[in-house]
Amino acid sequence: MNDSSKLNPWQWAITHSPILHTLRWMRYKCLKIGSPNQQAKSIVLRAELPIDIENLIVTTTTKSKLWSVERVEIARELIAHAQDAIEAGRTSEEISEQFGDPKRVAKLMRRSMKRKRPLYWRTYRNTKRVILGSLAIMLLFYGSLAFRFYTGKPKVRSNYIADLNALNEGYSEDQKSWKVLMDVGLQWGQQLWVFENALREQGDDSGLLRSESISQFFQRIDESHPEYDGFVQLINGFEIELTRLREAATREVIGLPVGFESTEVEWEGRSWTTGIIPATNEDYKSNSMIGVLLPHLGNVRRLGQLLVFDSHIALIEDDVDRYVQDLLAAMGLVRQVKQEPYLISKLVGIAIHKLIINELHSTLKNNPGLLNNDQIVKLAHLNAEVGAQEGFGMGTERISFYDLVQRMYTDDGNGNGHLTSEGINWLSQYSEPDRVGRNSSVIEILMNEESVIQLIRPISIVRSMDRKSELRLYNNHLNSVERVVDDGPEYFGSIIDLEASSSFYSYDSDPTFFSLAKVMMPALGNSLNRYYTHKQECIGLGTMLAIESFRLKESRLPERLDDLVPGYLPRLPTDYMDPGQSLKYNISTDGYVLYSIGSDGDDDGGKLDEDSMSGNKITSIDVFSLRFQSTIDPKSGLAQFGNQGQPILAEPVGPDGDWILFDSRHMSE
Amino acid sequence: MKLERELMRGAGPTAVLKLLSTREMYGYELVEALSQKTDGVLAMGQSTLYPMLYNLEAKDLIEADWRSADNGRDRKYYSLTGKGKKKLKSDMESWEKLSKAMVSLGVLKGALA
Repeated sequence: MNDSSKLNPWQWAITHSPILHTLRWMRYKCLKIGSPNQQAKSIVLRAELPIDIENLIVTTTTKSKLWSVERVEIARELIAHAQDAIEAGRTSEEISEQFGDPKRVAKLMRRSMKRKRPLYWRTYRNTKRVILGSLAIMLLFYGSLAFRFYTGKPKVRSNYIADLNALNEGYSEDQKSWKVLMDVGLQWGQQLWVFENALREQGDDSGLLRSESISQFFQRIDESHPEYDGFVQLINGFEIELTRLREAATREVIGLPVGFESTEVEWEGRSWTTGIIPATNEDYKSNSMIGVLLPHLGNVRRLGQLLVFDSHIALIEDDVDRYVQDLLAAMGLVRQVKQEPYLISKLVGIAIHKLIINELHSTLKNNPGLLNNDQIVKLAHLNAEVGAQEGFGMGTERISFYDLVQRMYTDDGNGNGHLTSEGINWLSQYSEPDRVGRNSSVIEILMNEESVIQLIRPISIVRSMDRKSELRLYNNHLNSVERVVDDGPEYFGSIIDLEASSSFYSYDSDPTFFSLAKVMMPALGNSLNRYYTHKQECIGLGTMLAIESFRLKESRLPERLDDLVPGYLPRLPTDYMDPGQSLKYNISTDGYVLYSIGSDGDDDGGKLDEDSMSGNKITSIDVFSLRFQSTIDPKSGLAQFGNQGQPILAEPVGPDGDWILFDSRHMSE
Repeated sequence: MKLERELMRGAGPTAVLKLLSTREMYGYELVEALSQKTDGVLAMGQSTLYPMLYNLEAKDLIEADWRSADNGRDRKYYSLTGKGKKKLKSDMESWEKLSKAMVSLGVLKGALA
């Protein structure tokens, strides 16, 4: 055996170690040192073969692109072959002809030589191939995602703005109140501003008139307040506008056209909104329903406060007609604003109604007999109309969501599609990402880099839901809310699960996941509590007025609520806390108490719950949620329903006591 | 006459194994033997032979050894391994069956077994 057939340790290491081989290859490629063909070439040259055969062998070894030791092996083999052929009398032409195309020979040699390589190398090669292959597939997959994400174009097809404007069709301008509300609201706002500035100059910067809570507003401006007289004077000087406002409150609708831009005037160094520029038929293409302006709502709220406060002043001035006119006007505003299709409008109406109830509670308790029957009937009828107004603005919430979907997702023609970069960018103009303060790890720092976000965001196409699924999720949520509105507060439990699931979601925290439904899903638990509290209070006020009417005619209180039906009430007043049952009524020598069984679900005989209520005002905003807890399936974490779709209720967890709607007795409140 | 590529791919390795079963041989020797003993039917140049030999070596059917020949030059001698012998036996049985099948079909001339 010839020693030259053995590999030296370095060659052996190169042959068996993919890393060493790679390093050597890099040394040649990068530094041009130690050509892998050098050794093979020198062996060929030393063999002193005819030049054409020599060239063939060198070309073959060069083109084989094998390791150096392998090229040497091939060179030696081909040299030996050629020398044997020459010895056998073959000419160099014959040998060259038999050799064939050196490129093809090199290719065949390379393929077969590689099969001889050690297991380590083949494992390394196969692993590398798998990794590179996987990377290539992932890159291809990502490329297709990025292409779809960045080139996908949403198509705005539906003009939902037209649907909203259609609600005002059929009403003439003199049946609409919005212009008066804007005009009177502007003047009242300016008067308040001047008044408040004057207070501030005197050192009173308590934000008295801009208090967040309307109930606080009344608690703070009372007859003992040092500025009370000034405020009364301010309101009295506004009587002409108040007359306009009372008339406007009797109109059919507010009728504000849908618009995306307000009209403004400059006064005393600041801008004041005076109205709205109605949207054109083409505006829906570039404006979503999120951008719809409702500048009148602030005015309605302030003017409602104004009317109730003026009624308060009228009462002090023994002007009962003005008192009733103001409350009817305020109630008219409630009717108008609740008629609007927006959830926020309905909440404004509910807030104003609360003021009216407080005022009437106080009057009927402290001044029984002040109102005549005609006045009571007018108030009762308008209150009944307000209480009977159905709907909670879910229709508008729904089409607002549909409008967003058509601006963010592609449309495949079958109602489905995927998220687009254009859509995300479009949404970000309304919802600026909040990424401050989340840089506690490298990942979080990277996630805050806009370039990184743009790079990984296409993945959200596969991680997030498609257009249909988003619509399904949102509709399921709104359906469950509408079920509470339509079928009763005992369905409260079914919406809480969805809200809980969405409360942990923020689309800024993970750029690879996005859910429009979860971003836009309104947290309606509190609003629904307000909705049913309002409905209950409307019924309570109606019952209270019916009792007062009964007392005026009969000169006594009714023994039972049944005495009011049908002469004073069309039916027994519903207690929403006690499905199928009516409100409770206790009469005593010094008056009566009208109450609901409250959020603990049992009749405590008209005992006030001191924890959750103050006087006859509910302070807890989750009274219905506490009353109507659903049984939760421990496995799914979802509310359980019976065979008929009715919720299986758990024990109520509200505090002990009743919900006092009205207590005419002169006891402590 | 030369065999078509596909036929050569099947017959070539068996032919090489058979030649090596008699004694160890070097590359040129194999080329000559294949050409002469088969009247050129299985003749193959180095572009076919050496890749084939490397494949057989990779499969451990043959083994190679560089040695100095009588004339002083280095030659690489190929010989059959134990695995190669088994493979040759198996291949020969297959070829026998094949040829009988061909005879029975009239593709080859000869007496039926």
